[in-house]
Amino acid sequence: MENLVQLAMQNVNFAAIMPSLVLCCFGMAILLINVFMPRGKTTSASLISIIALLVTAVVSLQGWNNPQFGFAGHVALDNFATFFNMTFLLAAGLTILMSDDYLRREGYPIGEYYPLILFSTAGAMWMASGTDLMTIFLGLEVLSISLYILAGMFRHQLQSNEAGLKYFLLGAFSTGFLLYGIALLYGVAGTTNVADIGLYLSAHPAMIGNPMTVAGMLLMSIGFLFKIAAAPFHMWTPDVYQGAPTPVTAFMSAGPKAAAFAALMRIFILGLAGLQSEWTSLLWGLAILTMIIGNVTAIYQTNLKRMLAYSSIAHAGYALVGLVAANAVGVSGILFYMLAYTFMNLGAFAVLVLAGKKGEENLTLEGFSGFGFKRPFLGVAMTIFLLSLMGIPPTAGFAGKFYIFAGAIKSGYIWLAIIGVLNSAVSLYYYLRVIVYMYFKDPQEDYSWVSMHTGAVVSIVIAIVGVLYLGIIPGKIMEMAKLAIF
Amino acid sequence: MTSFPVLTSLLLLPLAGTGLCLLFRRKPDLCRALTLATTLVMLALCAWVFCQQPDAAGWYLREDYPWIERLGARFTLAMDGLSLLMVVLTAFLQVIAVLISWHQKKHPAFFYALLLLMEAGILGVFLASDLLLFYLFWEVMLIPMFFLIGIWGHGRRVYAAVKFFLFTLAGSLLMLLAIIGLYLLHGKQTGDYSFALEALKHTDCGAWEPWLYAGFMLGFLVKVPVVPLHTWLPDAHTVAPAAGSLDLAGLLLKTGVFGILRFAFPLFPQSAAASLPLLAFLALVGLFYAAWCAYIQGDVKRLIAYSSVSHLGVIMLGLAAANVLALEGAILLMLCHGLTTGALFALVSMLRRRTGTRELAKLGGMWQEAPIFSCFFLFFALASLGLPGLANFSGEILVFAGTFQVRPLWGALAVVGVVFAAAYILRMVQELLWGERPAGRPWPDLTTLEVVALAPLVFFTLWLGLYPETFLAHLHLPVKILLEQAAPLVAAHGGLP
Repeated sequence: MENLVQLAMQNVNFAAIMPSLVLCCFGMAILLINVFMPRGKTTSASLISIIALLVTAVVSLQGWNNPQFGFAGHVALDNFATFFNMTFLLAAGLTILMSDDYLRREGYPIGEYYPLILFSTAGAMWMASGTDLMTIFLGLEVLSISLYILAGMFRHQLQSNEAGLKYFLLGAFSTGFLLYGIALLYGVAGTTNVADIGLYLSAHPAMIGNPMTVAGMLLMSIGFLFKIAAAPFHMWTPDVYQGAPTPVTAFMSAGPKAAAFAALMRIFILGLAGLQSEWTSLLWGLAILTMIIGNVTAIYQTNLKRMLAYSSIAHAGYALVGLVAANAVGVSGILFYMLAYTFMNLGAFAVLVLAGKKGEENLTLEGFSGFGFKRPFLGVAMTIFLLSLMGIPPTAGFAGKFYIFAGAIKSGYIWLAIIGVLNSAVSLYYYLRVIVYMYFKDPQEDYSWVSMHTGAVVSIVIAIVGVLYLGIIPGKIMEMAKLAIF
Repeated sequence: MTSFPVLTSLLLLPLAGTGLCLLFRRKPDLCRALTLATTLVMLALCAWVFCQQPDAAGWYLREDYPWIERLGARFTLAMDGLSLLMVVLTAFLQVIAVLISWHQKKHPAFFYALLLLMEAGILGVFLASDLLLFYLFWEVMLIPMFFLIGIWGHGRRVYAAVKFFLFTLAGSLLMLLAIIGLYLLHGKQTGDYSFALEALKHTDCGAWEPWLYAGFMLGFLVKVPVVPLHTWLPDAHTVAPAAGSLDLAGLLLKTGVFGILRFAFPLFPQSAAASLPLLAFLALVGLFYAAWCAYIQGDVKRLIAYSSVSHLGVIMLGLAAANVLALEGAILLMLCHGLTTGALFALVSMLRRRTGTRELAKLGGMWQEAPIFSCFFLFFALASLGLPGLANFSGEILVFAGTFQVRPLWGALAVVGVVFAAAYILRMVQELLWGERPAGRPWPDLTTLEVVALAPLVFFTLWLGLYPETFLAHLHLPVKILLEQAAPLVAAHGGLP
């Protein structure tokens, strides 16, 4: 017994989990504070959350070029995890900034909202820094359960209820697949440690072609591809994105997606490198399918939240291209792309939060007629975000796509790159249509009900700066993304 | 050479102007004055460079700063004779564009901001000497034009704007793939990952060359535009506001030809040489087809738009002939076409402002009604037709002379095409200036401001027609260097000079 405790203590390294620890402590503190606050007063909770995120960012950056391992190889705070941590923190920060006034406007000033965002961010961090399948699974659950609650938070609205329930049922189902896959891989390798699985497979090449290994890989992929919203596991995305409160949708489109990519990359590249030809051909097909389904379906949407949902499916497809390439350029391209996507997509959602009107009535294309001239700042901001989502230089979206497609061409996937580029051409159409409505149509109303809340405006400004910085001088972040991969 | 970063300021000035216009959007008069001042300062800068002498390698100015070092992309701007002329044309036409849209009523600040942003984009395209930087500007110049057509256009503006954007962007996306491909090939061969044009010229593309060349050419040919990729142009022109049409015809189309000369030919000389007959074929088809389309148009602006496609056929023929005379002629013709067609578009917009229509059937008798307008119109129409002594003639005669040297048949066909030009231009002039004047309220003649805007165009049209050597002098060296670098182009026609 004594030995066991000693062994456990040796492996304890709080530095490796410090970021998520800090975040969770803050989250619980805010839960307690909420008890003593009068109902409806949530501003202090949101401010404390912002402070929490800033503190966590500082703590997390300690791990840069200073990798921390601990808990018997379950957790690693390496450059890879740190880069993703910063992306999650950014997503959470922008979300919280745009949330406070939105929640009041919609009549749900619920203090628990902020801790839930913090908890799900912590879950995302475990997914990125987990080096054991169980840790990753734990992270996924923490992330998801918080999000199930958040999606259904507007409990008097049918759509929100539907979103929460749908997300929960399908999410739980896909988690089952994930666990099944983990169990099979454990059966093969006798361990759930990602690196050990990789070692085992390279030591026993005969096991690589074993149906159990392949099945484990496939089942596990389903769990993550569901979170990424890759086709054909994307069906939940449009309804959940549309029904969930807009800031939650914004967070869902960036945070969990990046987290699932982080886990997928660590597992596939470190643990299942022996099966690379298998998962490459799987992802090759899924990337194409995802891009096409996302882009083509987005063309038919008239609700902007729904359109952005399909667009997020398409962007998952672009990012998968980087994973198929599986070289340094493509993989660091995914890291870059996730950060770029966080900036541009959350920026676009922040504009939707402001333009949405009470009860989210104003989210159709028609509702944006002449918006650009009536609300010049929001119009220009939205235009920048849409151009970035299209991938037009000099924006973050262009730099990201450039990076990923260059990776694909470098690995010889010329056709994949061509299909990706043609998909971008398709996507021009639906993004452009929003601009067309904003500027080319005559305004139906004067949009006087749009009030420029400080929080949301700050998040929009941060997003614009990020999109342009990553687009015009991406060198520094690209360098970091390169240092962050294995 | 001076240490003052002239080229960078040529890009930053209009960007600063854009920012200021957006900032002072509630003061349209201030924005207008700012925009005019910016364009005049730019023109002065360009005129100063025009008086300089190039160094031995043909560069007037070169500036080079680190940009994305991780990818080997640098912020490299360079100006040789070819880009100098294009930059001067841009700066000049942009002043005219501001003058002819002086009384912009609808969202004036935003309008001027976009004009300046477009100027920055176009200048960037002409100056960039790094492929990634070039691509960046290539896309940046699209966006302002998209807004100009979509917001300030007439009629089916949304349709035309979206069509313009989708066509040109789809073409350039394939160019982007080709750029990445070339970059990776070069990096693999030399270990030096770089987007620098001069470095990439030495890449051995092997079997990939035709594909890469095709990728580049698709992007450029859509922009030129070459038949059958031209269908966006008449639509865009028909609806675009005056300044938009001026920029579209005078500048945006030139970027396509410029791209071929600056990038596609020197980077892939073997494939380029092999493609010359096809280019010539497309050029001739475009020349005739567009002339025929122009002849049957009822809308004056659409007619001029098609005449524009037809003129670009002559320019493309000059590229396909690929010798000193034809290339110099083609580049000169780009300048001439920018002035004369730009002026015609401006005049048509002035016409529409007065009469409310551009239908030839509803117009006529302008000569009596508005003599000053008619004089200008006749002058530029005749220049566009290729009247000796005026701008287009000097360019066309050089192209034809060059073409006759290598392929007499192409030359002979092209000369016939010019007869077509005479047909549609004379028909337009006849119906518009003479003919029956329909009843209705009187049409006032040109205002002083409009005359001021058009006078410089007349001046340079005469200069280009009477003494083109001023401009050709800047072209001798770059064309010589181009033909040296792309030796297979010359060999394609039997080694003729």
